[in-house]
Amino acid sequence: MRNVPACQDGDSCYTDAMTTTPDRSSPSSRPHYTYRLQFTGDANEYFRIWLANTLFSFATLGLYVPWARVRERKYFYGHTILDGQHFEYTARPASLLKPYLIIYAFYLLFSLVQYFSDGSSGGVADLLTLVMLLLFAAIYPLLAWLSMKFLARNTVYRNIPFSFSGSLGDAYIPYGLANVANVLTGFLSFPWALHMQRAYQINNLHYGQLRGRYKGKVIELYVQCAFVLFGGLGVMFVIGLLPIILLTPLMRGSSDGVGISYLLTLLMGFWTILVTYIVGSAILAYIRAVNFKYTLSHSSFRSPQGHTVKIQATFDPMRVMRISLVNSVVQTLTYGLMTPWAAIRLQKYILSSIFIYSDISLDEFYSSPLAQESGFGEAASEIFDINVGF
Amino acid sequence: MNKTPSPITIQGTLFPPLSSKSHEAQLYWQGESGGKGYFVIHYGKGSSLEGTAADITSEEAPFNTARSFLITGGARFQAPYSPELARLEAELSPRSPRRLLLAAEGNYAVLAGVFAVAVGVLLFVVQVGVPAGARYAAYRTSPAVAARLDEEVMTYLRDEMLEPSRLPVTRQAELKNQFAEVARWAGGHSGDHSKQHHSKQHYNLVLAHAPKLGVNAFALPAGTIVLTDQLVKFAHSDSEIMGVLAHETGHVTHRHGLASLYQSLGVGLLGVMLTGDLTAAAMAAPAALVQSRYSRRAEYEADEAAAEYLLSHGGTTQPLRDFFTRLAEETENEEAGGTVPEWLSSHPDTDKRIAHLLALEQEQAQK
Repeated sequence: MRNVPACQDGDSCYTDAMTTTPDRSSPSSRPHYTYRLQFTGDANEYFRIWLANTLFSFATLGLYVPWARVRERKYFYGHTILDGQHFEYTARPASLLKPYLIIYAFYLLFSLVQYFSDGSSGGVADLLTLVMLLLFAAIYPLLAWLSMKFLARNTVYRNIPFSFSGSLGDAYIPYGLANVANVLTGFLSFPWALHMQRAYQINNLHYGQLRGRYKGKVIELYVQCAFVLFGGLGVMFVIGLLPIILLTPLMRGSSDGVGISYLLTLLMGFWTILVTYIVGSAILAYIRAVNFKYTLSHSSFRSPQGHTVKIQATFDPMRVMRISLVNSVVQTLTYGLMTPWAAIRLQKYILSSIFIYSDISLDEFYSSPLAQESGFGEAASEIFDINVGF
Repeated sequence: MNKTPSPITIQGTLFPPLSSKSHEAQLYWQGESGGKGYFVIHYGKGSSLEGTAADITSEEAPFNTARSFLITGGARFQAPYSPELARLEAELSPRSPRRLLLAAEGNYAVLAGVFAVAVGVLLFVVQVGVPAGARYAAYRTSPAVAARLDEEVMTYLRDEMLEPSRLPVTRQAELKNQFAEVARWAGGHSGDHSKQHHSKQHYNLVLAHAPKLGVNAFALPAGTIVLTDQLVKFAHSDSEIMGVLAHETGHVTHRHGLASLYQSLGVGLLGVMLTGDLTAAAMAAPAALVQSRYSRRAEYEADEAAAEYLLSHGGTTQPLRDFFTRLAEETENEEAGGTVPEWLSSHPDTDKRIAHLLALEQEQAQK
């Protein structure tokens, strides 16, 4: 029962040095368990689920969207398996309908205001736009806080729900102040902001008697961001700008062909835009993957009795970047029809490379009845998902 | 009819309340009619739990996805998906629509049926529902809001492309004088905004020199009608110009401007409600399609207004027909040069419209 089922996706298998059974003969006095996450989702199957959800959303003019989102998430959770047991997403779609309607109303209001602000500058409409943006910035920490509570509370594994104990006041540093700082410093504070957000997210996360602990360092995030930024800019320069710089004297040389130089300029412009777009989205996918891996590998869970559960992610961010790039190309070419395939592909690769090391049997977690009752659980469900949805 | 369903047995895992301890378990269910029944779960070494349908709730999940059943008291029974499990779910909540969902998720034939229904609903809403709603909203919009829109658009146009008319002042006065009659006929009055009546539709003719717009005339929601010098020069007679202006009053009285604004807002909102998974490109195509269909219908309605005016002031739609014919010829000549006037690009099927104007005249003659 405790064996990790054999890895089916040969493509992303790490067969070397993989411990699949509890290793009780480790040097430490405590038993040591190693598990590997497994994802059993299937693209063909998920395609039908996704299409059915999309069609029901169409037929109900979008009213079904909360049900569709929850159902899709349930599929991913239900196929994420740790030690033979699946995760579960337990959100009630009906409680999400109101927040979704609020978002629709907000969109309608915003586009109306936008329409009116087209004509003149400095009018009432522009003021309204500004007020709406400021209002959004002011309540953003609240929304992030609510959605974290909601997401934690609705994630269940082995009959134990996760929970989030961060306070609303504390959310105003990583999600309020940090965003303001990003704008003021031209995103120089971005790694710091990211660090604060990760610390807030992980340090307040609970599972049974365990509490999350984030050990990431700001300086390392700065190094990562600098590396990706300069690396990305370098790549962009070499394949985007260098050909143009080399071709420019060639163009001046051909004085006879105005048409040719015009065509070349056009081609160069097109090339620059294409390279900027592709490299830009690659950088974004890469930094996300790097940071996700870093966050997981620097997070652990501890119990008051001194037990520790550690996480290790072994996926290759470069490969995640390649998969994301291919995914977005395929999605664009198929008008979104291959979205389910893309989502499953990425999920499979990332999840099956995550290992859990525990010095406590997964049978031994417990939650207190109070933990399930307390908190703003129900209130949180009122405004949920805005963070995730955006 | 009181047939008892056959019992169901499911293998799974049981977790006691508040605990992550897994026990191999077997759930046995005997259903009765009307969503009733009782269950027994055997787990561990000889332990068991039992209760009635009221003590067990299923956590809904998609097709072929493991799920759990919550037992009163906090225990959780988890099992992989199987036909028996789907049957248990159906018997526990007989009225839930989840059966249709599971069928669609598990079967391409059912999915195709859902597809047909969804496309039908969506087509109906976009082709009939949204336009009707937009028209309703357009007629309910307060004149103050419309007037504000006119002001905003005019400010923008004056900044970008409209200059004061270069026609002689006397000619301008003459046109405004004639237009006052069109405005009166259209059920309103022409003049300054400050003298606006609330009961009647207000019209305000703006003459403008606008090389960027070419031969053009257009109406804004609150009754501002812009006429370019280029159109005045292009026309062979004043009745042609008045025919065009009557056409524009038709747009105002039918609230076409506001309706098309609401229409595009509605389609956009629908897009936002449905996207998340669909790319913007897939939504843009139907929106554009609807828009062009919509504007064609609006042009016919405005033409009918123009015909009505011309028939009551001279008895023929000839001036407007001549104007359309010459404009179409002009456009064909200019198309090579790439300066197609906006006027025609938003006025499709000139031939059909001319025929329509002629038909309206003949209809009038028969009365």
